[in-house]
Amino acid sequence: MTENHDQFRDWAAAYVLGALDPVERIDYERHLRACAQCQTDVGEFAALPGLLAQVGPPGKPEDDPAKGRITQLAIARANHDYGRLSANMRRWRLAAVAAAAAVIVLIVAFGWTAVTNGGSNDDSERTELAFDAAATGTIAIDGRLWGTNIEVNLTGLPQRDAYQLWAVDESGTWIVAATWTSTPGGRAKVTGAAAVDVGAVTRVMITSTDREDVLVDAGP
Amino acid sequence: MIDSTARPIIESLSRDHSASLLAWSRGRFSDPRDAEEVVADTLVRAWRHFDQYDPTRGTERAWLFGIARNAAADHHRKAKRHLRSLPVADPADDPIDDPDIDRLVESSYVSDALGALSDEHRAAVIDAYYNGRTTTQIARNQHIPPGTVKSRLYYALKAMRGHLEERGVLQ
Repeated sequence: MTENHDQFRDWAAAYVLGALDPVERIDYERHLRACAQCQTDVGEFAALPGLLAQVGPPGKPEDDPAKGRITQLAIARANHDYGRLSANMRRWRLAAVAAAAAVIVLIVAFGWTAVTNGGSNDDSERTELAFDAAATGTIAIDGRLWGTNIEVNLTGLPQRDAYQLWAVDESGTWIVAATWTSTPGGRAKVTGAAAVDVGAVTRVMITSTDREDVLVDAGP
Repeated sequence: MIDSTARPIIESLSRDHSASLLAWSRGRFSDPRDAEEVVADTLVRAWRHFDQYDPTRGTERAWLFGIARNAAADHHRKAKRHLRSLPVADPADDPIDDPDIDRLVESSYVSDALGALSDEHRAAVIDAYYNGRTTTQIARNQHIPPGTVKSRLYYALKAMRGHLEERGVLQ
């Protein structure tokens, strides 16, 4: 280390990137001939301009909402037969296009025992679903002659412009059951109707038009 | 049936690699939904075959890019089969078989390394390297001492070097 190393201590990067003024460059090269430490630094940085040339000047890295969307889509597919979901993706895309926005998936965890569908409106067959989410309240399904009735009574849903309620059947098909716009306090007292036998419903999902992280994980 | 390994593995792979995969996929599909679907498909396939990943044969990211390449090819074939008029890249122009996945992976790591810098450090590198400014010019523009600019560049390249060493791009 030469005695004036301190003066040039952190010049190596600017030198390698070509950012020194001409006079500074000459001074630094003169110093470099005799300074082992700076030679080591320059050696360590030498490959970087070539690597930087491979990539364009980056924008400020921001959280790409597509990442969360893709992750949840991949997880949903992994949890169902992948092949059957292709049709659902097209349907989901059509709905997303109709909504003219990206979609957030709030997957509601639940567990229930199978409900035999006698097509009855009898409240005794109403099954309340358990869920683990930021939202609180109840979600219940029951079988009807025409399909599945879904009662949503929640508060604390994250504020979004609009929401959609879905029933997902055992083939992985997503069926829209209700749509509604945002309400104060994230309250949703909504009744949905899905043209699917209650015994075939495997998940209930709430989506909005903003794509965010999934609030809860779902699974029977 | 839920496979309990799906979520942690897919989330982990996505956290580490989906930004790079998405950047690549968006360059190959005009429709962003196709680009996203290919990346999602890649993650699912990677999860399915996770036990087959052999670290001695290459990095996890290189493995994923290989899967992504096949997923994109399958997506192109499906598009043609269904006669969708999506504005996708013509497979004849975009051979899908990227000639150099190693280069692709390397570039993605460099992007990662830049992205991992602090705003100040990244701005200094961009100004000096991509905008061709001298440390004096940068110092004047930002009203900071030239020594500070040199120091920021120094620590930025140190950090990038460390990042790239960890990922095997540099020894």
